[in-house]
Amino acid sequence: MQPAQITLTFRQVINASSTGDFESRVFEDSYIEFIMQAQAYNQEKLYRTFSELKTHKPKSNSLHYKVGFAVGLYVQELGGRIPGVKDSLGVTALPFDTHHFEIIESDIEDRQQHQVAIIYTTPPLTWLGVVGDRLLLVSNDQSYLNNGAQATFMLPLQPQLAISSYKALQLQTEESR
Amino acid sequence: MERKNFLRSLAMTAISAPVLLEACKKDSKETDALLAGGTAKTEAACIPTDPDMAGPYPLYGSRGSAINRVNIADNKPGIPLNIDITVQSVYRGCAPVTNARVDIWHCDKDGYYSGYVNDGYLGVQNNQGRLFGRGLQYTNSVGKVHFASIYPGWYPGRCTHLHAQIFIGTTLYLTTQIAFPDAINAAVYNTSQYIAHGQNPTTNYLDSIISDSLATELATVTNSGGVYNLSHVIKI
Repeated sequence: MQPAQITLTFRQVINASSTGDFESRVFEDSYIEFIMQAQAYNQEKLYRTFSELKTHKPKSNSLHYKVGFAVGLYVQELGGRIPGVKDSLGVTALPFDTHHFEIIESDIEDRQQHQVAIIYTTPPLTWLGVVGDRLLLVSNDQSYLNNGAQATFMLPLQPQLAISSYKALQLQTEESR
Repeated sequence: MERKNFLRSLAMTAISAPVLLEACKKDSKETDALLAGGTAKTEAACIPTDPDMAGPYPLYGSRGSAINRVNIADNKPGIPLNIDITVQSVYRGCAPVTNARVDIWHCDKDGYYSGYVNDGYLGVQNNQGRLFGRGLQYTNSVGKVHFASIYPGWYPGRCTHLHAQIFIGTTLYLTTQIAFPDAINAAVYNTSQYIAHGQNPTTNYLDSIISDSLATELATVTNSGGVYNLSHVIKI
């Protein structure tokens, strides 16, 4: 199996039924910020939902990032770790380098309809293969092995997780070492 | 009366935001007392609380916002610019409006905005995920906010400007722009950091968006030892 350099992308959907401190703060604050920012495109209150707004006021597409600002510090407080996406041992959360915020849907009169996503993308990872339903990846921490082996970790495949970039790496043969 | 209408009516009669907050606290206390079976005032106890959207709107303080900050330059190069904006209430004889949220945003010295993929004289720049030139602050007891930034550049078709929005509570009161004096722009764009882009051909009077609003949208800008200071009053 040929190793590859990959990045993974995980899409965390947050809605009214989400639990957890981070998710609750993102939900509450992004909804209030949506209410505030949407007014610029909806002064007459002709539209209730984000979908309606986008259809009739295409510039409202900028609400994705304008509302995203409102939760920027919460994402920063994650310390570069994707919430809830851990290795097979359940110990280490998957790191992310970049993220962006997306409003899936919202409604200025019904907060239950508010639904957003945070899309996290990892730094480049070395992928060695798939074992069962898990990705075998090279660990960034190689400090505890000195026998020539590479430290690895395994990551369960799961909904909302995708390989978002792929670059084949040359196999290192004994001759090429 | 629904709470949002109550808030709006207070704001329209120019009660300042701290009063709004107090009003909301009082409202909450009375509601809590009702729920707890307490002895709130008779008129309050006999009137059901109006239904409204949930959420702690009056308490929302943009606490998770990545742009709730004074320094909005994000280490972008440019001549320092202090931005001082005062918000006043027309309905109260231009008294200061306290605790209003002021959002501002402007381009960098080369005419590029954060948050977008935008094209300019240096080519296409992907500034998604970047925040430079964007900030929000809440007005203090004399209705002022302060930001530290850099003097903005320009892009074709527009005079040099800032964007601003004023919110009270969660209500958007005003979306506006702030123009800079042409003579100051010319001096800045002749300095070493800005000269590569040259002078902005769109002066204030040639800008179709702002030319008819200069009476209220032109800021005062002064130079103090190489640092520029912008002051502007927004009346709502």
